[in-house]
This record gives sequence, structure tokens and C-alpha cells, in this order.
Amino acid sequence: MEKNKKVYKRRFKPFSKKKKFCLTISKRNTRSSSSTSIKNSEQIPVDLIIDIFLRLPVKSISRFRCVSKKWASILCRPDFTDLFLTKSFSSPRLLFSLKTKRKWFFFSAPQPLNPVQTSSAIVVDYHMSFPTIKCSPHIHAPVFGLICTKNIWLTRGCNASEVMIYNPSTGQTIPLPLMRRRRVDVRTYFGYDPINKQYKVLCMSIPRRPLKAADEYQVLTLGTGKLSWNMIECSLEHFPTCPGTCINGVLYYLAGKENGTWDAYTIVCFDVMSEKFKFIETPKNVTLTRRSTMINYCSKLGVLLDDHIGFSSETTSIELWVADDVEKNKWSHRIYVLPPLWRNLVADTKLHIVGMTGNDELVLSPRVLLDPFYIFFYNLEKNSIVRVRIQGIESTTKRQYIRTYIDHIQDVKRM
Amino acid sequence: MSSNMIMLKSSDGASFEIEEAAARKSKIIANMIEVECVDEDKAIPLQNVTGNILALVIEYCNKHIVDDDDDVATEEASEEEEEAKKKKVDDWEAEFMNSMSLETMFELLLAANYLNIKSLIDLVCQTIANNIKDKTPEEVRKIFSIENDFTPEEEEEIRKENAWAFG
Repeated sequence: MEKNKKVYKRRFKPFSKKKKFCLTISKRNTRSSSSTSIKNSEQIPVDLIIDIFLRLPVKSISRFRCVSKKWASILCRPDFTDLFLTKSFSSPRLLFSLKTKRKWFFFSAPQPLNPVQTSSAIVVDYHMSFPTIKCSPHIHAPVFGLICTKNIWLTRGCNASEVMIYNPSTGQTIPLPLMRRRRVDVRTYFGYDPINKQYKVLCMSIPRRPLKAADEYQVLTLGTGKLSWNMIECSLEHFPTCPGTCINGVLYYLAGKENGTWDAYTIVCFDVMSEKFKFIETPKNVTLTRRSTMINYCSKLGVLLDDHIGFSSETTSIELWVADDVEKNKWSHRIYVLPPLWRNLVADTKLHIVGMTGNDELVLSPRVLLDPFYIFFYNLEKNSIVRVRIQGIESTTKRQYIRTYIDHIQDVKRM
Repeated sequence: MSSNMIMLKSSDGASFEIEEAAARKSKIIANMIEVECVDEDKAIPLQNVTGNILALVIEYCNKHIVDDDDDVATEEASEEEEEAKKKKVDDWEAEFMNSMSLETMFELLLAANYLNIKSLIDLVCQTIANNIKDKTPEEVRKIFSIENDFTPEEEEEIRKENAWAFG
């Protein structure tokens, strides 16, 4: 024992000139080991193992569920999946979807925080793919990490799965059961109730000949064991048009009101928890169109009156209506005059609003995969525009449509 | 700048002298100093940490205490300077972890956990995660000496469930 009682007195004095030399020796002692396996991995406390797992990409988590029963159970435990979700909130991602004839392809990358013009290109990872559904060929923007197919047009030969839920973070596909319906045209919306932590799909049938208000309102709640549709009441006659957006447990979507031709638009708000409908009054001078776009503006509803043609280098300002208080029908009108740099950066790209980040940036993206492919961050506070190149997505066809989503979170819980 | 020196003793009997400010990176040691458990003449015995691992811990603490001092001195540093400094620390940490075997990393992780040095736990966990993230389940089993306890049917089932992650 005496022998071991060496005192490395001078070795670790922080400012000692000999430090470097001595440290090299200590490195050699500890680091030359070429062992690649941990003998006593059982000794590692589970909370440290979880700490490591929390830093893995979602793909590795799925793969490591196949290592052993113990790993599978840790990686499926609600405390782990909840921690992972919490962590994901603080590092949201960009998600890109690309549709081909048979498949949806998803790509993702960390969402840049305060991007600056000098930021290097973002290289996306090919994430995964899901087969497309013939009778429900479109998808909603992800809601709390999950994706729901949008609208159903029932034709012959697609009676199997009508609505699908995808979780691109677990690879799980959840086919929803058939709903009761007498018509071929069904609209679906997807919402999340953050209080009860429940996802719900709302769907309604559309009578087309003659055009009438939607009926057969049904709701399906995910994660409640057996999946089933419940009929709900809606006394507000409306004709839903896409798209919708879910903000703090409220689903907003545009709908036509009965005026003979159903082309006077209003905003329907559907409370995901209580499953109650309400119309939102807009100011007198606000005329909504079928193409008005709704975004999450700092947890409030923001409306862009007409995003039909998108934005171009000719655009000089962006106009937004913000519902400051939905109950009291208080709206504010905001006009953002774009900086001169806009014209140069945007050039001949047609852009559409994707959403707004927590840093007051409106994110704009083309809907066609261009080469090079850029997305744009317009900071409302600083009135600055930044263009960020996205790399790693290759087009297979001449005119490949692409959708960009922001604030995508990753939920590794399997349903 | 002068600072108190304290002594740490590893489980295998090696003693190390370390500046108090650096030792305070460890919440456990900081607490011991707070409640005046530390006798100036006696080394603090660390039963769960061997000498070679303690040497790494001390190397880390010394490096980071110097950086913390820098922060105070250059409070009004420009963004670029901050950036450059952060890069320097990142580079040092990468070099520090680089070529360390996984076995050593885990021992270091256990020591950091025992001594409660949050930033070192974070660094080691992130490095281990980066090291294993692209591995197959078979490789992971080998690294962690884990036995595959799935029946062939169970394994087939769980592989099917997670098939997308093997692409």
C-alpha cells in the first residue's frame, strides 16, 4: 500500500509549466486501452443510461429497442418518453415532406436558432417514408409530433384504411377505423388537447349535390385503447375548407357560411377538450378568402388574408391580423414593411408562409423543390431577412412538391 | 491569484493536489468545503474513484476553472470573442474525450456522477451517445456486454415494429 501513496503534488497545479508533459503521461495510462466493451454495464445506474438515451436521435432509439428486454423497457417507459418529449420542445426541428406516387418521404434537421446570413447550409437527414393512402392523399402539418392524413375522397377500392396517423419519430402507422358516413367527401382535422394530453381527429361529411353544410360530425380520441368514432353535435351550419391550425388546444379552420353559394368565409374554432364549435367574428373590414392562411402568432391566432399566389420579390409588405382576444373579438392589424434585402434574396422564388417561430420569425418556404433550395426567416422585431440553404433533399421528378414545417417535436412514445 | 489547495485521495491510494476553486466544480466537494468538513492536512478520500480516472476529472476541472475565470475578466467580450472562446472549449473537450476508450468514458461518467459534476456528466453522456448512435443492436450488445434475451419470435416482432430505423 505504501507504494501507492505517491503524491502527485506538482502534476496538477493549473499553471505549472510541467503540466502538459505530465498530463501526456497520464493520458497514456488511461487512454491507450483499446477495449471496446464495458464489462460491468449493469453497474451503470439507470438514470445515467437514460441521460445517454436522451441524447440519441429518434432513429437510434427505435433501433436500440431491439437490443434487449431491459433496453426495450427503459426506452418505452413513460418517464423516458416524457423526458424525451420535454427535451424535444427545447430543440424543435424543421420537417420536410415530399410526396411521390407511392410514398411520403420525410426529412428533418434541427431548426436554426437566430439564423444569420452567414449561417452555413442546413443538411437534412433522410428520416423515413410511409406509403401513401389512395383515398386520403394529403397530410396535415404535424400536430405535437404526429401527422394525420387530410380529407378523404372515397372511391371504389379504398375501403380499408381511410385515415392514417403517422409518427415519424417512431415509424408507427396507426390506421383509424372506418367512420360512419353516407357521402364520399369527408374532411378531417387534427388537434391536440395539452391539458389532457390527448390527440383528437375531427371529421365531417360534405354533401356536394347540392352543396350543403357539413354533417355527421365525429371525433376519435387517440391513445384510449380501442379506437372508435363518436358522433358529436354541431349546431353551426358551415362548409369546412382547408387548412386548419391547432393552437393551445383549439383547432381553427376556415369555413364557408350559408349565403347561397357558401363563399362568405368565417373562422370556426373547435375546442379539442370540450368538443364544442364556435364561429369567430372577424373585424368588419376583414374579408377572408378560401386561401386565407392561419398561423400560430405567439400562441394567438394570426391570419394572413390571402396567401393564394404566395409572396415574391415584388411583395413589399406582409399584412397580418392577430386575434388578441377571441372572446371579446379584439383583433389587431399589423403591417410589416419588408426590408430592401428581401427583393434580392427572394429573387424569382414564390414563397408561402409556413409559420412563426418562438423567436418572432416568420418562416417562408417555396412549395416546389428548387435547386438550390432555400427557406427564409423574416424577423418581425428586427425587420431582417435571412435566407438559409437546405441541402440533402433530392428531387426525383421535374416538378417535385415539398412542404416545410417548423417547430416539429419528436415524441418517441409508441401508441 | 492565490487559492487554497486541497488534497484528494483516490480509491487506490493516489493523492492529488487541486486548487479549491477547481475542486468546487464537484458539488459534493463544494458541499464538504461549505460545511468545513475539509481538514487542510488531510486528503479527501474518494472511495469510488481510481487514480487514473481522478486524474482525468482533475484535468477537466482545472481546464474549466480557468475558463470560468476568463469569463469574469472579459465580461464585455464581443460576440465573436465569445464564439471563439466557446470554440476553444469545445475543441479542448473534443480532444479530451477523443481516443478515450468507451470503458474509460463509463468510468469517468460514474466518477462525474459520484462527484456530482453536471457539466462533465453532460459531456461524457453526449460523447457516448455520439459514439453509439449509428451502431446496430448487435454492436451495442457487444459494447455493453448485454445478452440478447429476446426469443427469436419476440426479436422478429420488435424488429418488425422498428424496421424503419434499420434503413
